[in-house]
Amino acid sequence: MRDWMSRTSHLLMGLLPLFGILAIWQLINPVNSPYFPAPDAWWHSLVKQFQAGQLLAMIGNTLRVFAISIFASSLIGIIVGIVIGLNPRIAKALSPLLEFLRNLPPPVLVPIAILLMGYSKSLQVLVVTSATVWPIIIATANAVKLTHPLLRDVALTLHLSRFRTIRDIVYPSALPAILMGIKVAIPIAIVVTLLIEMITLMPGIGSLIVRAQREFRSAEVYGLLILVGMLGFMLNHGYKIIERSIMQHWPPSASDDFK
Amino acid sequence: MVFGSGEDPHVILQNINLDVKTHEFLTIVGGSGVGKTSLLRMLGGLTPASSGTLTFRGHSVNAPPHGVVVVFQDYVHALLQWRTVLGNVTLSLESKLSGHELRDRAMQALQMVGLENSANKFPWQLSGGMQQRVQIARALAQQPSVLLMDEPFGALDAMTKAVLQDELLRIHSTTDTTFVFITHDIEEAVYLGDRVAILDGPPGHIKHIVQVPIARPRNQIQTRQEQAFLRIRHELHDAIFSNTNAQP
Amino acid sequence: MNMFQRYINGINISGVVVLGCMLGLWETSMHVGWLDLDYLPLPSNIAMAFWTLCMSGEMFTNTIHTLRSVLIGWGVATVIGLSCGLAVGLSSTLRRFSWATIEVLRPLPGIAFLPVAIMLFNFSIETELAIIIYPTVWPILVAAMTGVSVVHARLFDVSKTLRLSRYKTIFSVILPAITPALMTGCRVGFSIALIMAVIAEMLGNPMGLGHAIINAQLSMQSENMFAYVLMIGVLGIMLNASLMATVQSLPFSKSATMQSAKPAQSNSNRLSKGPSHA
Repeated sequence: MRDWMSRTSHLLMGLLPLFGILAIWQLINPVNSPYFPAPDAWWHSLVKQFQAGQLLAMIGNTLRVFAISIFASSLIGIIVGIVIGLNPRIAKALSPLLEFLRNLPPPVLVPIAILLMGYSKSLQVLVVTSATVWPIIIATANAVKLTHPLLRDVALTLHLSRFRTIRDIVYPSALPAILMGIKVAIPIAIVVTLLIEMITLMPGIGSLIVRAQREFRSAEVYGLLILVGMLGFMLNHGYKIIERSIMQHWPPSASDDFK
Repeated sequence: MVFGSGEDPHVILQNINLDVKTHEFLTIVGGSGVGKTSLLRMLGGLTPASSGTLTFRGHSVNAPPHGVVVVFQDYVHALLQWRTVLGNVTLSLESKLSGHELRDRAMQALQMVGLENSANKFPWQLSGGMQQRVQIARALAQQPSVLLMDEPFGALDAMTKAVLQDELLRIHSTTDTTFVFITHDIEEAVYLGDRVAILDGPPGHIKHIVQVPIARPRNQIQTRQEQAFLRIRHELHDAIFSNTNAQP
Repeated sequence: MNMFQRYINGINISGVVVLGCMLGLWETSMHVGWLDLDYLPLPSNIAMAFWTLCMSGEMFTNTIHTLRSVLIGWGVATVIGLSCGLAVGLSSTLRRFSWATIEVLRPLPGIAFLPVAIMLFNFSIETELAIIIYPTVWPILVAAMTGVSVVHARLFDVSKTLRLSRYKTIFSVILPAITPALMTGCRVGFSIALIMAVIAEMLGNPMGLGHAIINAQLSMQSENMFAYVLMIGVLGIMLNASLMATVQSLPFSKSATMQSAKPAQSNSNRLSKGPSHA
């Protein structure tokens, strides 16, 4: 009980600046300032939107694109990463291409896709996947390349087939690094998903914010900003929980090896 | 099995002429850097010999031969830390067996090293000695004809070493596995072996092979006090240190 | 091996060949008719468009705009991130009263602020800079903060023994020690800055490479669009490379990378080769 109380108070102390700013904003707010509406106005606008029935569906759209893309890019990234990691010659041959693509800012892919594919449902997933696959490929390939030589010897001396060596030794030993790569991909996925919605106005949170901004509904803009913040926080935090549960079998310091 | 060989480009091993007899316990002693690990890796088919012939049961060795398993010194990295103890032991068997048969074979191997109660723990939850036993169990589960061990007890404390040495001897006497055991510890070499080969170098070469006529079963206290033990230990010590620069 | 030979050996021949083959395949398959997407241009046309844009000066103006925004935004973010990160890292009181706020604000995607910035600053350079600075601050701040917490306690003892002033402590002891972590944070911040600049230019400030790309897309000028994409890619690579080069040349970077400020390795599971003789 005491532990819970001290943890909560620790949390509240840490949030002090945030609450402080919000409180001050609320108090000194000149009535109906168009640029800086008070926090309670944000809340009200969100509630209104929710009651109008739109909000949940929009959130659902954004989250759906995000989830499918992360799943696809993880799958592709891991497979390609393993192939590259195990074949130094392929890695070398592909490296200029990979270097260019991994350094390319993800937003750049959006107009390319729009021009080539037009506005279609699959556009979103395709673009977000192509934007997020690179950090996963790189993290996987590096970890596979660095598989401990002793593990390779173990695979040989125990006469494991190539397939089993990859599935039971190479892949699990690279898993901590792969999870870190996916952790990097998540914020990219969020940003690119929102970007597409903002540019194409395809239904989602991004399109909601842009419409609100164009129609000068400032309280709504701030409210949706907070909403995005909360979603971002929950997605990142949720992933940390997933990561921790997968890694519970690993020795406590395993994830430090792959900084 | 028989071989003679050399290695390139820096010559690591030279003029090795060694014939390992079936079911013997052969220990190989040498200081650091003489090429013991390289020799073992060659025997295990992990590193190819650049010249000469290496045969196992009449076939030449180009890749890890079936029936030969290596046990490494670095148990932390040789074990799959993300699998349970049982999972580690079943690793090599999963392609051939499944279900009850798989589990039974694995538990049998764990019983041979006394770890049947730790089957569901993870290696990183165990002590060094126990982890090394898991590696041994994993090797034994394959029912190998030859077990090649690369300074397996080098990183363990004296008491654990003694316990594991006796365990190895017990396994040797109850199965017909041939052991090739590498160590830098002369006493360990004599205590365990039927024959002791001295590896000197670089480049590594077999300087001397000594028979150990001490009867089995052996005992940590008594055997180490026997005349024959002390004599052979002396002999090995002189042989190793006859070039005054050689330091273990 | 002299410099020239080493350079030749360093060229990734297979990489270049693969790249060349892919471009060649792209070009020929379009000529032959295998590849026929509306608006997918020929590599040769892209090259021509690139050349034309360079000649007209547009490539230059746009690139300079983006480059300036990135550098200014990143610079400001570094100053903010470093100072706040150091402050929070060094003062446990400050840390207690701000850690949760940092954890909450950090994952907020910078792009969500864009409509707010547009509302406040309109479509202008201020909007662009604001969008660049916010997300770039965090990796630098966190790197400084955690870097300080990992600095070996002994270093603090050393500075106390030598009675170093606060100023000296920070500059001669702390900064060099946290440089490796800081450099990583700055590198990450840099790529974030470029990403945000492009985003801001696409939606919030109609200047620079981001805007040029969107413009080309809207007017269906695909060769120009790809030319600009190429420029951004090259810009990204060059910026990264020059950042690495600057880092290497810093006076204290060598000594900093030698003392890897990793926390002490844990427990008996760490086994390096060799018997454990005390």
